Amino acid sequence: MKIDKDLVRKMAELSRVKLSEAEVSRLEAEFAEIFDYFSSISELGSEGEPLYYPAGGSGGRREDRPAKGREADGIVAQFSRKEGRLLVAPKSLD
Amino acid sequence: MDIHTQRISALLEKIERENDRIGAFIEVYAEEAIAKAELLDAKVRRGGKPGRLAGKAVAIKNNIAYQGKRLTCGSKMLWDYLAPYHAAVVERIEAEDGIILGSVNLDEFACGSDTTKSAIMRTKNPLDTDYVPGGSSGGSAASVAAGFADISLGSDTGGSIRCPASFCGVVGMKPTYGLVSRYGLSDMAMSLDQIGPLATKVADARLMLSVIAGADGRDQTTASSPKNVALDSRGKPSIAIAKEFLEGADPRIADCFHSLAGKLADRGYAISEISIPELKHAIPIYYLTVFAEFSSAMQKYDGLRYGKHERELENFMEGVSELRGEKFGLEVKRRILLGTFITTKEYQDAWYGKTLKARAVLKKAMESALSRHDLLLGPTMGTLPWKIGEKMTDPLELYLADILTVPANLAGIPAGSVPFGRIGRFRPGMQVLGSRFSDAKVLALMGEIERLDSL
Repeated sequence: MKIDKDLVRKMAELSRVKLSEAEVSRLEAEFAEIFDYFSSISELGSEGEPLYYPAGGSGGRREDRPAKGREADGIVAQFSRKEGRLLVAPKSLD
Repeated sequence: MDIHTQRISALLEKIERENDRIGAFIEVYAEEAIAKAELLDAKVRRGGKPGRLAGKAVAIKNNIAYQGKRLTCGSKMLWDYLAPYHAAVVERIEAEDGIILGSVNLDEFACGSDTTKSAIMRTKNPLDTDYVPGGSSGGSAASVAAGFADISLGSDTGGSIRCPASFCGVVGMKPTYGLVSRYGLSDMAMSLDQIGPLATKVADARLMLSVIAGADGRDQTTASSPKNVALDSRGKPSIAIAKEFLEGADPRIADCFHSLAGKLADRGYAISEISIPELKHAIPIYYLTVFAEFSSAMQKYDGLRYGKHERELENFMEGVSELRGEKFGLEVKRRILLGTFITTKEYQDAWYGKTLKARAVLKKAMESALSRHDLLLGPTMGTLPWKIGEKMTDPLELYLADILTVPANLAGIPAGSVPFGRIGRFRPGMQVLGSRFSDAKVLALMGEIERLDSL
C-alpha cells in the first residue's frame, strides 16, 4: 500500500489531530513499514464470520427499570464552559 | 496506633522516602488510606469480622477511577481531570477492607510496553533503575516489586499486566474477558481490556481476583455466573507448549523455560509440544483491532468535556484538532490515525473487516489447542527489560515485543505470568494460559511454578 505525506495529512484531518510537518514525515515512513508488515493478515483468508467480542454467551441484560445515576454531577462540574447543567459548545456548522 | 494503621503509616512513609527514585505513584491517597485503616482497626477492636482483603495495601493503575482523585491516564489531556465516581473494582476492594494507597503510573492511555510513554513521569524498574519496568502497567508492577504495596491493579489489553510483571519479577494475572467489571476503567480497546492483579505472591493475586471477579450490571460483558474462579482445581493438568512461543526468544529466557518444563515433567505433569501456526498473525490482528477500537474510544476527548481546557474554540473543528495535536503524545496520535484510516468506508473491508475474520480464526485455533490440553505454557516475554532510552524510535519493533501476550486477549482467555529462574538481576516471567473461565486452573499451575522456583 502506497503511503505518502498527503495520505498522512488526510488521516490526521479525519482524526481531528493536528500534526507538525516533522510528525507527518516521521509517520509517513513508519506507516509504510507498519502496513507492509500487517498486510500478512490477508493470508488467514477472508471467509468466515467476523469476531467483535470474545465473550459469546455472556452479557445478560439488565432489568429495564429506572435507577438514579450518581455519576452526572461529577462530570458536569468539570465542563470547561457550562450554563447551568448544560455544556457550552461552539458552533460546529456554518 | 493499632496494627493496620501502623502498617499503612509505615508504607506511606516508605513511599514518601522512595517514590522519587522509582516513580511508581502519581498520587498518594494518604488521608483516605489512614482513615480506612483506622476504621478497620476500630472494627477489629469491636469484634467485627474483617473483610477478605483486611489490611492489604493496594495500588491502582491511573486509568481506574477513584472518586474525586485525578484520573490522568498518563496523558496531558486529562492532567487535572477528577474521577466522578468509583470504578466497580474500587468498590469491591473497599467493601472487603482493602486499603487503596494511591494511583500509579502507566503509558499514555495504556499505549505502550515500557511506561516511557507516560506524560506524567518516568517509572524505573526496582530490580535495576537503569531499566524500564515494562508496561503499560509499569507503575503497578514497580509498586509491588518495590514493596510499596501488597497488591496492585493493572489493566491488560495485549500484555499490559503480564509484561511489566515479567520485567519486574512479580506475579501478574490477566483474567478471562468478562470476569472482572470494566466499569470505571478508561477504555483502550474495549473488546480486549481486562483489569487484573499484580503481586509478589500468587496467593495474593488469587485473593484479589476472587474479590474483584463477578457480574456487574454496569458492564454488560461480565459473565453472569463465573465458574471455578475461587475454587482450587484438583489433579495435575495436561500442559502443551506451542513451539511458536519459543521462536525468537532470548536464549537465556528459553533456558529458564526448558529448566521449568523439565522440573514439571519430573513431577509427573504430561507435557506435549504442539504447533499453532496462526500465532504468527497475532501481532497484525491485535494491533489492527486496537487501532480501530482505540481511535473510537478517543473521540470523546474533544476539549469540551474531560478536563478543563481554557481556550476559545471559535472554529470548533480546527480548535479540537489543535488541542488534540498538542495534548496527545506521538504513540497515541499514531494509533488514532491508523484506527481512523482502517475504519473509513474505503478501507474498512481491506483492513478492519479482514482483521475481525482473522481474529475468529486465531481464537478458534487457541480454543482447539485448549480442547486437547488443559493449559498452555511458554515464556511471557521473549526479551529481558531494555534500558530506559532504548527502543524509543521504531514503533513496529516495540509492537513485535508483544507477540507472546496478545493471543490471550484476542481469544478472551485467562493468562498469568509468574517469575521462574534468574538472569542477572532479572527474574523472567513464565506464562500460563487456559480456556475461558479456567482462571483457577491457571493460578494453580502458577502456584506450582512459584514453589518450584523457590526450591
